[in-house]
Amino acid sequence: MCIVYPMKGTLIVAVEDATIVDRAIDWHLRQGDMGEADWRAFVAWLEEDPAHAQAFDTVALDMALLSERADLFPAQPMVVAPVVAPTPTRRLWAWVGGGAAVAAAASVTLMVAPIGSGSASAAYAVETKPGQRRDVALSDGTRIELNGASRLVLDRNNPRIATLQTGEATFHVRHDPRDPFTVRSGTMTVQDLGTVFNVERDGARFDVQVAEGSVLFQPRQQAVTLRSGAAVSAREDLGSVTVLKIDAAKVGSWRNGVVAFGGEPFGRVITSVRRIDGVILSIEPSLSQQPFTGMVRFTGEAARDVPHIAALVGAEWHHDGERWTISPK
Amino acid sequence: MTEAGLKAVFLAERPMLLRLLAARLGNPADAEDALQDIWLKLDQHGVPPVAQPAAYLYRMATNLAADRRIAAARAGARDTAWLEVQPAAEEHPSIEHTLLARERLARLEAALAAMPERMSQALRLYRVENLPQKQIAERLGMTVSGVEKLLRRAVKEIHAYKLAGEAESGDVYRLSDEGDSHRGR
Repeated sequence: MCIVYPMKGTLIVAVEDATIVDRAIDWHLRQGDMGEADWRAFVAWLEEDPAHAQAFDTVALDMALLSERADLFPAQPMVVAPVVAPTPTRRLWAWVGGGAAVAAAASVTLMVAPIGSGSASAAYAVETKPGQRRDVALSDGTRIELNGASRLVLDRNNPRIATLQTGEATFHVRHDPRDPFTVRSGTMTVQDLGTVFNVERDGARFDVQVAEGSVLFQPRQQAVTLRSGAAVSAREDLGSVTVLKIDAAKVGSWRNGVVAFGGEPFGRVITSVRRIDGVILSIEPSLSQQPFTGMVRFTGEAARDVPHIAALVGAEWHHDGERWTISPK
Repeated sequence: MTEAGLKAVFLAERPMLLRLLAARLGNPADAEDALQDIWLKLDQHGVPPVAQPAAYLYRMATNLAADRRIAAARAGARDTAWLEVQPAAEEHPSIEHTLLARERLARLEAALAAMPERMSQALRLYRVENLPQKQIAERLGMTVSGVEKLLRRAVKEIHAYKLAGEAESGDVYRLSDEGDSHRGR
């Protein structure tokens, strides 16, 4: 096998030939249904001229960037609830991948217990059952509101650190520039820069939304500054991080029983209703992957909320005394 | 196509796959490495039934190449981390990189804002929602060839926006390797 690569110092002519760009775009758009012969022709074209490879690379990177940064698109109005949106045509939020988003609603009991064996740390967990809410006041003046089915680990010796293991919490941080407040979750870290923000952990997915001030996401790595109205949605399993624009006024709105969804899998709505209502609810996998856009108001009563959300996707609900199910009609 | 069958196709297509990866990554060593990744994926994750095994492998290779180019950009080489949003100067040491990233993002955003709504909508369905062109046509009430034309124009407008300040880019394809002797330089 002999492969000929361009020699050292090959100069790239910076002139953009319109026909080369057209060809590059053409190749990119066709890739979904190219046959074997097309692929060979594509390789030959790439090799023919470094300008070809460069034009294609630019197009491919632009396109990759666009799929990751849905927020770059012009803002589109969010559908306001109550909505019946079986086939939403617009999405505000990027959803990368489609893994099982529904975290099993574990039966969690409320407990405060010492954790770990670190010498200087006096860690303790604050947990909520599904349907339960808790407010936590820390000694530094920081206030944390914990949604249902959530677990947060705090440290008596260091009130400036919290670890969200699962669920959702809104932080009202007493800012101290010399001692920033840090929230950890899995491999993710968020550091406050004077702030009200919401964090959510759902399986491998981690979300941060900023209402006031700003936070530093992954301070030791990418160090993305998120200001009011910005959010990140990270997937540890896919290694993806998506930055989004959101309505700052709606951050942490679960506290009022209102949750907005923008083109997210319907399973996320189920996660919310489990947390807020504490309901035992199962849903067919085909439904949980269906994209959903809209704002949902939860009353806290399963008997009202489950039929409501089932209607939102045109599905049927069933109740057998303890368990609820939602399935396609 | 069984897994063994696909692996046989992989071995047969190996030279061509390597050429594709080398052309996309601009570097034979990276191409070898990426090819190894593909082999491992076939080995570890098993294979879904595929009608056109060779095309399947080429698509795998081209997707992997795009992923690697993104990772390289993130690592700070040329485009730096485009994850950065609204970084304030006082909070960031790598202002130079940040400025580059912001500039590029701003340009993309401007290109999207400048295009007709229908065009950006088609692009959103294509890139963000990952819909095949046939479904985009259904959503927008257009013909498939109409969608194709619209997407072509959309990608071109974005490309044109980029040209304004980026004439000097292209280091990636100024290969530093001499012939095949890419190791131990």
